[in-house]
Amino acid sequence: MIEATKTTVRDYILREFLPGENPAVLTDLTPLVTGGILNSLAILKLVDFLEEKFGIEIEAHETDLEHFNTITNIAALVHTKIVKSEQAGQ
Amino acid sequence: MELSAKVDNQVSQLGRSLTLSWLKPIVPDWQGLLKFLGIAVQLYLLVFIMRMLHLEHNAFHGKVMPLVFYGFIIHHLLPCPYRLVFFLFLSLAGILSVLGLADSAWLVGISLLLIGICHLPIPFWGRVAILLIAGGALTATRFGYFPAPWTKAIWPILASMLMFRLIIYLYDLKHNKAPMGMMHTLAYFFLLPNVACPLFPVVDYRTFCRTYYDEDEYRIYQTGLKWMLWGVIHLLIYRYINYYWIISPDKVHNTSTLVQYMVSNYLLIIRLSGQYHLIVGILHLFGFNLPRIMDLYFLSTGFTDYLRRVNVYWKDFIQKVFHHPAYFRMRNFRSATKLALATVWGFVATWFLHSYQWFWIQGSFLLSGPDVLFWLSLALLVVINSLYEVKHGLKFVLVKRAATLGEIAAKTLRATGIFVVMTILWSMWISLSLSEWFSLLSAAEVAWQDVAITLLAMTAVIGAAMFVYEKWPARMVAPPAFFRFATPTAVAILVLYLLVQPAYAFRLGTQASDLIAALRMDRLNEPDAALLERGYYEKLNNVHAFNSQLWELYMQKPDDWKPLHETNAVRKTDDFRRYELVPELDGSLKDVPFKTNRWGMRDDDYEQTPPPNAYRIAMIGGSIAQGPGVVHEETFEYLLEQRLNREHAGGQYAKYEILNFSVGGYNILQQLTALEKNVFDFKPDALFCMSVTRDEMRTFNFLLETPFETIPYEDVREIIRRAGVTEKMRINKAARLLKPYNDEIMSWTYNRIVQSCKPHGVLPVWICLPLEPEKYDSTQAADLRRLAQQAGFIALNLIDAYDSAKGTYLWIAPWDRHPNAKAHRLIANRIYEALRENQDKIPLGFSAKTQTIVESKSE
Repeated sequence: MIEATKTTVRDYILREFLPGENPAVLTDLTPLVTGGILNSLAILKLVDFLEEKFGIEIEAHETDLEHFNTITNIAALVHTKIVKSEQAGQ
Repeated sequence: MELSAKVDNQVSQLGRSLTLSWLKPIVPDWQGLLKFLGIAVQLYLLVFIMRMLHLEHNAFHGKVMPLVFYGFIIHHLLPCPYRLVFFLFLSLAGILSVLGLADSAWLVGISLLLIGICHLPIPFWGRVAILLIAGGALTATRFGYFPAPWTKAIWPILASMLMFRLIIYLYDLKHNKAPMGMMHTLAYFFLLPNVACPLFPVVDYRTFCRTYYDEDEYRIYQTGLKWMLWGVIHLLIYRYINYYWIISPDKVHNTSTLVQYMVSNYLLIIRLSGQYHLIVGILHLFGFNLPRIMDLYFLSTGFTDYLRRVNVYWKDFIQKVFHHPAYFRMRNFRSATKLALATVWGFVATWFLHSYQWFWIQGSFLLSGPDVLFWLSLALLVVINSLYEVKHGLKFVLVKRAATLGEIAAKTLRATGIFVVMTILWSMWISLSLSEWFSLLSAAEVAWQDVAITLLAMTAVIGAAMFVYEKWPARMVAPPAFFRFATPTAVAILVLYLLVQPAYAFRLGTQASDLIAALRMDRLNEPDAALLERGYYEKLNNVHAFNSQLWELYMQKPDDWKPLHETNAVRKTDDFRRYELVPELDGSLKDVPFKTNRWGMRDDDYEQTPPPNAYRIAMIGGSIAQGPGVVHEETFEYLLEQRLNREHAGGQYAKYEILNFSVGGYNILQQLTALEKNVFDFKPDALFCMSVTRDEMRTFNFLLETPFETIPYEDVREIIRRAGVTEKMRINKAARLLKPYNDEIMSWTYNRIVQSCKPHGVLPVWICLPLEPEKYDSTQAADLRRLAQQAGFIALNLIDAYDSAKGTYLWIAPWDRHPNAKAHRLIANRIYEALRENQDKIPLGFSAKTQTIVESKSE
């Protein structure tokens, strides 16, 4: 499931923020924020997408380097949120 | 929690490795040793350069920087686990050395109390409530409702250490975002350079912890040196602009002066940039690999880009605490609406916190039309820019590549646009009121072809900078190896070290060495010096003061240090003089005894009728001649009188008397009134009219602030009418209209003084005294001398009186540029010399034999 989330996130980033760039260069561990690929506005746009796509709620304090610097981190955050919301639903 | 663990682990790993290397002196790390020695030498040179340049103020270059140097050496040699503790104690030592024991104890005590409240074992909201109550008590003390047992010097530092960092710290504490160990916390609040820098970047606690030794230590140190070098260069550029380019608003009259005024004032932000680079650079030397601040902001290609570049620390703080929480609370809104509202909220917070910061630093709230309009305009521009970017402009690249010429051209146009808009907004922000700003704009006769040329010139300069930036090869490749990385900084530091030394600077030629010598001096620009000399610094409550050296001097001024007219040493008069000295006063003023005689002169007592065969001189003038801040026996008037009597009494004249009619704050027109009212009854033989080069400006300002009908001289009223000045006219416009008539007013006044002396047989002597050791006002002195001579004065231009004491401190206090005792001695000697040289014109009856001017040479 995490792999599917990574693919979704990667596709979105390539489509929205990196048009015309070589997709092979964007790995799961490419630094997105510290590497200058995502800025604060891009993160907000990405958050809106993730919330809508996965039906989760991300908190303001979670939009940081720890959670948004790589595709792996983003997918992990989404996965944690999904698990939490499923547990809350049960 | 994850991050906390990660950081702690990172630090302890680094600690172990460094500890081991430290404990293995038998197999030394030669490369590491070489890097360390190279860094230490560069740092030593930088400390030396800062001292030579008197960068910022004494507390910074004289106290903090030596601590940074020695602290860095010891810090590096310590095992890693001890480094943070050492940094904390070094920071405390810095506070102690700058503020002294009592103030330091209060500062640290209050800080510990507030930090302690953050950790009380009660619910979070309870801690916030207690902090607010404690903040309220401090606010009341700052307002003066409660007496503070500490001096006012600690307020800006206390505020700077706590006001924003407490907010960030609480936020991170609430969200458990960073390690909350005692050492991390205390080191974060008591950051070493803070004690000498009240305007301090808003360092994020989490970033502070996360970046601690997150890279090779030598590279972090070398990066710190690079930022410090940039800081020094920024501050030198600032000085150049401040000394040679800045003009006051009353000099704006056409396109080029308007552009000069706006651009030069906007460029003063370079000072803040220099200070911040120095601060961040110093923190690098202790392992804090913080991000660069104020990064090429003149090349910003959008308003959001501008915010990011100009102060990423502030942007991140506002985003973290205000913008993002607001954005995420509006989940059900459309993205554009959320973004616009959260951005406006971020700017409201910025505006409020700016005023809040101003309150803690200055003691009064900042609420002005230009300030509100500035932030509002910027907010709107950023909202529009953000919405556009979200819709069209969020495009990035994965692999850095050199920009094409077309891309550089487009970026240049955008950057020029941002620069122009920011320059205009800035000129509004620094105005005291909106009407003053409009008056400034309307006063300039703008020629559109000049505007076009100016814009083209700006585009060319920004374009050239953009080209270099975009094509700079270092941006495209991976960071070079350490020594290649260090070499440019090391070479630049060495070159700067040679340049600041007079022996080397001299070889570059007179012009270059004169410029370097001028940049070595930490002095005020002309408009600020004029304000300080006028004693109007109390009025400096505008935002511009964030950039003003004058404001910093003002901060040091004791509360009871007031200009003469605000003290009880004077009483009101119902004539043009407005006030006069109270007779038979026995008090103190500006920390020295202040006495007046029965006639209301700051002088010894004299009979109204001169003694037989005495040569009596009446002296009129303003504060310099009156001698504030020095005791009467140290004034040049007293010293000169003593010397005349010591060396010449009993010759042609039995005695010499100098009667000091000077009153602090009097301009030449008030001196004229005092002359005609008081002086001639004392039957002087000569009148010494003591002038300074700012007499003209001071008289001019006085006239602008005076209701015309109260001016007792019809000729002066007629000149004002002829200039087209009316009563209700805005002051800037009136100033521009009246300025061309300055010489005429001065000329009329000098003529009137000379004509008043004639019927009484008084010899009129005009003496121009120096304001500064440098002769940058020599043209003005020459002009005044010409006017005085034409009027019939014997004119003595003595603005070289301080020449023998260049580089010596000649003021009574840093915030009060009246001559101190040494300066008075220099003036007395110079006047004496001039009197000897002009015996044929001023018949004081000196003996013919040449006397060695011993005192003069001993100075």
